[in-house]
Amino acid sequence: MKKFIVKILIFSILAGVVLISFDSFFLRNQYGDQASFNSFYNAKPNTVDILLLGNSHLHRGIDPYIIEAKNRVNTEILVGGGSTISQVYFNLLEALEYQSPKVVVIETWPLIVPNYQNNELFDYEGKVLVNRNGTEYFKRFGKIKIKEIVLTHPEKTWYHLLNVIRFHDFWKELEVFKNSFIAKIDNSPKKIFHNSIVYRNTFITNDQISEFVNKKFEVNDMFVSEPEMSYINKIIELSKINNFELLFITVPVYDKYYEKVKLGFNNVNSQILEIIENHKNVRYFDINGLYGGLDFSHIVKERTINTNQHLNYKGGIKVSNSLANFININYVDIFTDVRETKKSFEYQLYNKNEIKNSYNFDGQVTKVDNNLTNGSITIEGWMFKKGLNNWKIKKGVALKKNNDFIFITSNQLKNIELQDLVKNKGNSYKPSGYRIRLSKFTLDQGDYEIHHLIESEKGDIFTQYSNKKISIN
Amino acid sequence: MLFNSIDFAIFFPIVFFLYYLVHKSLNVRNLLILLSSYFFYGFWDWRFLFLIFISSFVDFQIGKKMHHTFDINKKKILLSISLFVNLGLLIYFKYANFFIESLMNSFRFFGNNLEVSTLKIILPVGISFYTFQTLSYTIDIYNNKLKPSNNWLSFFSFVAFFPQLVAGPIERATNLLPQFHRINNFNYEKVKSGLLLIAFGLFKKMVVADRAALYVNEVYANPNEFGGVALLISTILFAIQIYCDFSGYTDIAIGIARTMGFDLLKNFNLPYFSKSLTDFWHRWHISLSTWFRDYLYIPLGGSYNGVNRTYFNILIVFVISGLWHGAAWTFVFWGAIHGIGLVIEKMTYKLRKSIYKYLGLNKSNYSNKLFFSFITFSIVCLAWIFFRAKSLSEAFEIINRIFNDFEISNFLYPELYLIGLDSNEFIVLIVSIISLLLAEILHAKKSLMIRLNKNSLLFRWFIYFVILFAIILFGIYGDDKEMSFIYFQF
Repeated sequence: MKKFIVKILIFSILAGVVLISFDSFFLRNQYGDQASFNSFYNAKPNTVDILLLGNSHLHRGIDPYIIEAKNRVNTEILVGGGSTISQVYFNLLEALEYQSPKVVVIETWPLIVPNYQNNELFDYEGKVLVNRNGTEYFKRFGKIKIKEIVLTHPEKTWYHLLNVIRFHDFWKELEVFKNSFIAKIDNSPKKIFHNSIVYRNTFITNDQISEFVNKKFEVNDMFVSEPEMSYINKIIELSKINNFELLFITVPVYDKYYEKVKLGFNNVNSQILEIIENHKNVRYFDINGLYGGLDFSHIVKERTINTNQHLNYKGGIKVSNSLANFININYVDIFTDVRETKKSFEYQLYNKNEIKNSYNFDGQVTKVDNNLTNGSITIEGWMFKKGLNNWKIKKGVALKKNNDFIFITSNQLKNIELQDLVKNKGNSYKPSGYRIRLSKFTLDQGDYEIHHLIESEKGDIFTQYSNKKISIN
Repeated sequence: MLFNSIDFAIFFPIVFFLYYLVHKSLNVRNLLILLSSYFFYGFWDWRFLFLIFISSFVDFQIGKKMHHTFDINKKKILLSISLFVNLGLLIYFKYANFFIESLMNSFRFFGNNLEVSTLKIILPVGISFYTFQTLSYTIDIYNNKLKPSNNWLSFFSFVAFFPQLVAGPIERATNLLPQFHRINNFNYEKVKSGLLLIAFGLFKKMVVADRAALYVNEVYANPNEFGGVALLISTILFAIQIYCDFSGYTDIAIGIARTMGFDLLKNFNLPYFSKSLTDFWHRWHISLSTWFRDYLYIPLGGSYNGVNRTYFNILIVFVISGLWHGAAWTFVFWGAIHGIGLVIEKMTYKLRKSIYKYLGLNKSNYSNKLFFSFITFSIVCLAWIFFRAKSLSEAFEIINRIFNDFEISNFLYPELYLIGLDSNEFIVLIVSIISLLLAEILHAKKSLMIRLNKNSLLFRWFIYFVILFAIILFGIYGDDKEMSFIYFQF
């Protein structure tokens, strides 16, 4: 019997280890949420200074690299599409298992969103309601995950506890499995060059603008419900226990929509302010209210128009800068140590001292067409980094208006072959030429410095100021 | 409680460890078996526990009384009471509505309208199985083949023994009851082989049967929408499904019992390799076919009262066997097809033998074996159509379509294999069927456990892991997807 028990125990432990090891590969990756968790788990313990929590509005609206660059801190972002405040709470609990952030930023769309699930949070049986893209599955197997699953899936806890079991039939959809696998190895919510930049550079169309103008939006369900309040209080309680500053923020919505539901937003704002008024370590930064919503050129084009709008890259740059500046001003005493942060393009471009032309970086802007009659700008040029295999590098361009707006892009660059250049400099310059065409609406008005960017195969980054500028009127 | 449910995965280890904590005290052990068996059954519907209790109580008392009386008339009366109570409960719960409906249909057929409302009866799970098991007890005592049990706890545990309570194997008191009177010490090898058998059974059920069911259910839900080829494929898949479903259950049942030191009867022996229908019934649901042989066919006279009477007895046995499976004419037809097939086999035995001799066909020759197995499998599949169809007319329509709406070129259309399944699922289904087939053939030649034991620990554990992960990854479960065992409805 003893031999049997020992063997069964060893077998069960081995099986458990294998199942848990493969757990994070069995996920339906939604909007990069999985990558956000992977990035978080890959961070060294207790190195994160600012932790951002929220849902897709945060994911699309806040660029953690800008926060890092401008505050010289380490930032991680934990997001889940459509998360409720209870999910945000559990994400915070999980985060605190690994990190001891100084500031936790919580985006409040989960409190604003006017739907039953977010307002009620519990069903009639007391089960905690969660969004179907539940972040509970993104968590590592552990006490927080177990606690959350028990509350959210009380009827079949065992089934939801391990992703290998919950999503066991992933092999039926190899594409989904592949995406999950890619998300697993793609650690960052935003790689050095933004992956989904093209998508995030769209903006809502004239037809959609008309739809927004004509559509009626209800404000009745825009309030912080009792269950939501209880979770906010739990989060505040955690901030006291774990000694961190808490910052609630809003991410702007489309201004035409905001005009119609301002009453609802104000209602939520005043409720949040009421909840936090007696807590010195809790602040509220209503970025949406600051801008009064953002115009169409800041909002990504989506299939349908509804209450749920997301910022495009332009909107993200603006809002991230606002938040970074707010943190800089209000938490100046908190971040006394200068962190060795990730070397990103943002880090180099937003910090004047860091902008220096990389050694052996050769390049030139050959054409700037800002004749905006057709609504687009075109830049042509070339860049070359000696000592690297230039066929394998990733090229990018940054358009820097000032220290509050720098537009970085890579995916929109089209490779072109500049024959004169190749003739003069040799065949290794063949992959150097590029052309970039952008809509003028993707940028703010003003003068922009044009910077060349190169990311090596290894992930090293190099920048060069081209000494050329472009004006957007 | 389903064997393929998490409830059972929690229930069984608890019972197992408690069992070996108390195994040295026979009464405590049997009490544990009884209580856990009642819990197992009551988990489905506790109200029907009284049926098992009544059946156990009546037969225990009758058994004792019958043994102590030498008056043959009194014995007959006691046996009749046992038959009345057991068959009465079975008939009431399983067949009452069938008889009422059949009566109404008969009146309608002759132009009279008889309106009798049917009864609102829930069919208690496993009633056909435990009724037959207890009946065998009293009949064996009546025939002086068995001494009654003096220990009510052992007897009640024997009737309710949870591994085989709801879908067999239908145990004989002569085989199983004495095992409740002996102490089963922990036997490592037995427990190991029992666990492997459980895993094997779960693989059959969750990976093969339930995935084949996706195709079969889709086609049989609306057979009129499908051509002959799809209907043929789904019928073959149903043959595989029902085998893996039922034999999977039996493997789990035998495996569970084995881990507790009990030996249950073998119920299957590669039935689709049978070379005749007679052979098939020696290999398929063996515990039921031998029950019918011993308690119906032989009492009817067996083959001792002339050829015609033998044929009649066979037909009666198989029609009743069909009815035992379900209260519907489709099951009666299914039984009748097998009965008629067996009668034809018997009738043509000499003729066939001379033909084989004339053609030089040797049944032990590999290709001939394959040929006869193919013929038998085809007949079995034909009968399965009646077993699976919702009505007789639907079964005939399916057969009609298989023969008259059959385009052989349709086999080339990939979408025909993807009804209810996607391409990856179909590949998994085929690979798992082939793997199962190879494993069963190997096992028939030499026990897989013996084969495994000859290999290193590393290899053995690798195999265990493969089976475990095949069930976890390729099994059908979760979000109310657990499928009940087909034979639970009987």
